[in-house]
Amino acid sequence: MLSLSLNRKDDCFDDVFSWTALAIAEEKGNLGISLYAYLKAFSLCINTMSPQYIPAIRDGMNRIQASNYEKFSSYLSLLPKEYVISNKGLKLPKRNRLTFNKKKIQDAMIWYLLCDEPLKLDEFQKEIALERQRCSDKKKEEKAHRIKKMVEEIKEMIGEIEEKSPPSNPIDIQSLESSFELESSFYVDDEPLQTTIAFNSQSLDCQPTVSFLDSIYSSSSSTTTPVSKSLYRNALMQQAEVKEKKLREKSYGDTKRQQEDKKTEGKEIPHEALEATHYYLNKKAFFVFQKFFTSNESATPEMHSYRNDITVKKKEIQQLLKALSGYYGPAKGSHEKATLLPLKESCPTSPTLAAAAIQPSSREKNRHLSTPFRQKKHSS
Amino acid sequence: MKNLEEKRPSREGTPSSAAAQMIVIPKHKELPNYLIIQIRQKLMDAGFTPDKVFVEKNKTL
Repeated sequence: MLSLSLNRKDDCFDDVFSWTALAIAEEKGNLGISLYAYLKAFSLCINTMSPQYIPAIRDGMNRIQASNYEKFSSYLSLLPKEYVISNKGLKLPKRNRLTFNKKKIQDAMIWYLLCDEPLKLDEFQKEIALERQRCSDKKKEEKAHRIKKMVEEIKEMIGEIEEKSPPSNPIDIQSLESSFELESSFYVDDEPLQTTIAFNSQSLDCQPTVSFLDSIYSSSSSTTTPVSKSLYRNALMQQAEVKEKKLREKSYGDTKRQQEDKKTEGKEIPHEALEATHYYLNKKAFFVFQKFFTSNESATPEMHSYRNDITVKKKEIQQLLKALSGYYGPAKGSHEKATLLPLKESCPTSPTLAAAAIQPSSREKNRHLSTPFRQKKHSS
Repeated sequence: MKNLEEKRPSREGTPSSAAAQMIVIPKHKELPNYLIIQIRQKLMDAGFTPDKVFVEKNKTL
């Protein structure tokens, strides 16, 4: 029963009070369970570094020790292996005593518990407070280092954006650097930090985004904050614009059109010049127009002329020809005819498309012959 | 018949000029492939190539 209770893994309590309560309850009944519970409470005290509960635990363990010393010493083997337990007491492991750390506090707690020396709570609490402060200082230094890294990354990002598209209002990197240095310089020094800095710990865990920067700037009290914040946002906007432009270039990849757009951007094109070189259609007509010039990449050059992938409806071609032609109207029967007037500067036709149209394959020739709507009939 | 015709201001010359292209649309609901090729060729001959025909200004895609 005793061994079972000591070796059980399902420790249902995770606080000192419940284990001490169990120990006190079992003192009159099962001595083994009571000792086990005391030791669990004691180990929790060590782990959480809360020595104020140790006197109560020590009293209980002393009561059990008086009744059965051998069992008590054997149960102490539950403690970590580095503590050598003998009949004389607890021997602490050899280590450098000059530095005061968490382990030393735990050792001292065990020493005070198991030996006759009185527990000095005030000293303990002071030392524990110092230790906790040191831990927090270390964390803050790490966070400051992380912030530095993030700032460097953001600088690189801004540099890349500037290289890609030189903005009209160039970003003042020096002002950014100075603002970041102002913030980061606080954390470089080894001076105690808590008195000098009001640190916003929530902002430290964020990723380097706009919100992250906003939080940093809102927390800092430097004078350069509004400038650098707006600059960073401008940089992001410019990056997005560059991406959009690239996408447009891919989808409508006409270099000439882009050049013309750049030239005429923000200016009204004179009507005569517009007529001379370009022709502007409404959306629906333009989509129909595009159908005629879409290329089927999967088709071979010979099959290119058949273009089975395209279907143009009568209504669509009517729309297009109405938009393009100078004259449009009914023809013989239910047919309709249109007259396309040429542009002033008609560009030369592309060789592949022209060849495909001029030299149709034998199948297409047969189609011409078989269909009643040959061009010869209607062309005058 | 003439009233039904939609006339636009001519850009150059008259419809009888040599570069004018006549296009006849048959009664079919869908154009046959050979007509599509013919129309494309006539569009190109008239100068309506993809690098010269665009969507209306201020209504870009």
